[in-house]
Amino acid sequence: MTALAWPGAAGTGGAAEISPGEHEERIPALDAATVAALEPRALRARGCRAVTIGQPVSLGADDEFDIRFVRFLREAMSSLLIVGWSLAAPYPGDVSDISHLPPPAAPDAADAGPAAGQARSWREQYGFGHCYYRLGPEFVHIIDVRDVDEAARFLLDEPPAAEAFLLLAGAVRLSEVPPLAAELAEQLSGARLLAVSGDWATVLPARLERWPLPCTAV
Amino acid sequence: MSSPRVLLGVMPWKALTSPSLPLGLLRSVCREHGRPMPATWYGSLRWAEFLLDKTGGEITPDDYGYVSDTGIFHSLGDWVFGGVLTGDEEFGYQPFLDYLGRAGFDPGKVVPMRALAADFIAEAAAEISSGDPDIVGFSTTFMQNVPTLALAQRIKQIAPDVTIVLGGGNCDGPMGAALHRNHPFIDFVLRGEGEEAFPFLLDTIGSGQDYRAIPGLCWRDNGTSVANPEQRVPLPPGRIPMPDYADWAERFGDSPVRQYVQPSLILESSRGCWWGEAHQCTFCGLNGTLMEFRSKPADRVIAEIETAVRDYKILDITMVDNIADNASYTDVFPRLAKLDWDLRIQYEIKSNLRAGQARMLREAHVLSVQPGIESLSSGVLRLMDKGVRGPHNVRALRDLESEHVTVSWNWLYGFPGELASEYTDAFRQVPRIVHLQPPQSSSRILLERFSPNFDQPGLGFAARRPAEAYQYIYDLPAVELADLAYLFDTDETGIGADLEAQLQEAVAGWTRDYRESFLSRTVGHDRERTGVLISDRRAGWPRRDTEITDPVLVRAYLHLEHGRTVPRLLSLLTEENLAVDTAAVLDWIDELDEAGLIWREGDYCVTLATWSEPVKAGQAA
Repeated sequence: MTALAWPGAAGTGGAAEISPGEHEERIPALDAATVAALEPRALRARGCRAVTIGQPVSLGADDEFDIRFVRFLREAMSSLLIVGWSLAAPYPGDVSDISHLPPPAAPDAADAGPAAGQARSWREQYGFGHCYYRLGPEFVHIIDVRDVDEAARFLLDEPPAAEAFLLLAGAVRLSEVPPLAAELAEQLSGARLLAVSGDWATVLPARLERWPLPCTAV
Repeated sequence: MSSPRVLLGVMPWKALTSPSLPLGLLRSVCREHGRPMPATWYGSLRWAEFLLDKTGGEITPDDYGYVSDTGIFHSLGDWVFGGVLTGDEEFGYQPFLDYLGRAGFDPGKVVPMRALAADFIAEAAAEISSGDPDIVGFSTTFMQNVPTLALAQRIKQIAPDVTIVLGGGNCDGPMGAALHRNHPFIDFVLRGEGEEAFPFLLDTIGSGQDYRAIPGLCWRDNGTSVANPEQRVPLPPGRIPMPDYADWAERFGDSPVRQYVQPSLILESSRGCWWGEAHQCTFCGLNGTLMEFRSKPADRVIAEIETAVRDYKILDITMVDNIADNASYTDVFPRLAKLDWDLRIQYEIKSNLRAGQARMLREAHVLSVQPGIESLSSGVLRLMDKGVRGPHNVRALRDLESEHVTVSWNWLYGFPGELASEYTDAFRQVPRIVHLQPPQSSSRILLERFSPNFDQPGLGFAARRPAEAYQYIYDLPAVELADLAYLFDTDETGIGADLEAQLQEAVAGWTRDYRESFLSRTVGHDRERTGVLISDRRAGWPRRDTEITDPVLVRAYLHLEHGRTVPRLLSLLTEENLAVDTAAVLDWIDELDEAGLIWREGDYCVTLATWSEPVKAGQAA
């Protein structure tokens, strides 16, 4: 982590209360263990605005990694952490399901491979805040405008359902979640609100901890 | 005697997103007085549904929103119902459209809407009278006047025994008396706050008691309109109830309108304006006859927000305070910040934010503010008695951008005595702040009733007449319109057409460039260094990083982030025992100026780089 040193002594007026601003960090490569340990909220809390992942990311080979990476992107979007990354092997599901998450870098124009095709499609469809949830006291609102013609709003207004949703917001094994969460997972999956790879799953709507300007745009 | 059946109504152009605060308050008041809570009738939702239905979805709630959000200064929504009220479909029809054309204002879909207004009013009156109410009360504010009058008139035609009562902002002062005097189908107009007067009126109707005892009431004595003097004692904050929106929540939940809009609750933590009590902004008439600031205790504000969110499961909240209490930064916002709920709260605030206050707003889920920026020039702000300087407003824009708080503001001009040089100086510097949120519009100030500009002709608006649109909507003599109007036309003052065009151009450029412009800075950006790194990615400027490493200049930069005059900056640096080379500091300030990194007004400078970059709507991946 970059150390933030404060210049000079605490001064007068506003200078003493100045926010240090933001820095960027680099992560050489990701595997299931490192991606599990990455917490965008904690990165943001220490002033990190952007992370760059050195190695291109391969999806579709490891169910756990795929879901943990999707969760990482979702949490990054949630806390407005910019992620610089590129795609080496494509996501095995429908890219329009994850098009609201930070897309990979634009591939070379000459690259006609499947990863490049998916990266282009992802970038075209991307829209910040197109699929998110809002937490209230024992209820959850879900707003999904990934497809403008089928924009949908959902309200989980039963406390156990809200609790199950938050459980599914982790990277979970579906075979291990309680029956109510499994039932909700099925419903969310039907509404394209759950990423599933093998037995692993996580919800797709991101919680907006930072809102865009204007905040009414989503 | 059994309680009368009371129905409370609210007409277009009430925003479709939210319940009516006055109706919610009066429901609570009735309950507190041991009366049955009046049913409510949301003519706003009903009209939006009617438009959807009758046009096969061609006229949507978005079209309604265009009128309700933008039409006020041209009485767009009133005109839609003008033909029904006057009983003459042709009344004011073409002259109004010609007027809009001259003003360059897009009429949206008001023409097809007007063609449906008579059927709607007939249907609405039949629906209301079928419930056999004894009393129908309407709250009317801004463009609700004509739709309300049109419906009231129709109800009286088909159910003459129904007592019609009007209240709300449009009834304040002489406006309410004129409404009553000119519309015999209105039985009563209640002027001023209704929490005490409304139950008083309900007790008095049919009791044989004297209507003279009800402060502010307009009533008829043997057919003659009588206006009782208004109550000048404001309702104490402890007696301002929490609104009851249960019926609206049910109604809204069942409406097809719900598919088009995100609902927002309306709450209030204070009434009146603490700034306006001592220094009313010269153009503002929003508080009508009652300016006294009254703030609810923090415990109540928090409890009301929590209760409303739990009851209605809605996370968007619009606080209708004219201006948030300064104490909120210590007693309300820190407690809101502790709620782990994804609230989206809107507040009006004063723009002279202190360091850290923008962050407090964001952490308190106050994601949208209206800070009353109005202008970026100190001289103009002084003319409007705003109590802030131009650079303070620029600083507020910078801090709110840094904390990702949405800012709504308009750039106002046309103040008597304003100097052209202040505008040209601001225009020169606008390209420097294209990374900060631009105004939604720039507009010449209007003369509003109750404002100092209206009450004191000596301020420069001696010549005034009711705004032009009124004559195309109300079939009333000029002398009556003069009492009924809220907006007035005047002779133009302040800057002329040339500068006006330059201002519009500057704002258009700013709006165009905002989305792709960023200017941010990091302090102590590197493990080894402790300087300031400024990253410039503003449209129209070279893409570059500027690094400040000299310890004296780093301190100077941080002082300028607060905003300082050059002499004050030099003395601060000297007080900190830094070895200050005055000439070098002055050169460096000139360099910052050249690179567009500060806003400069005379010798006052404030830095422009944000400390965090937001996501902007529509920004590319």
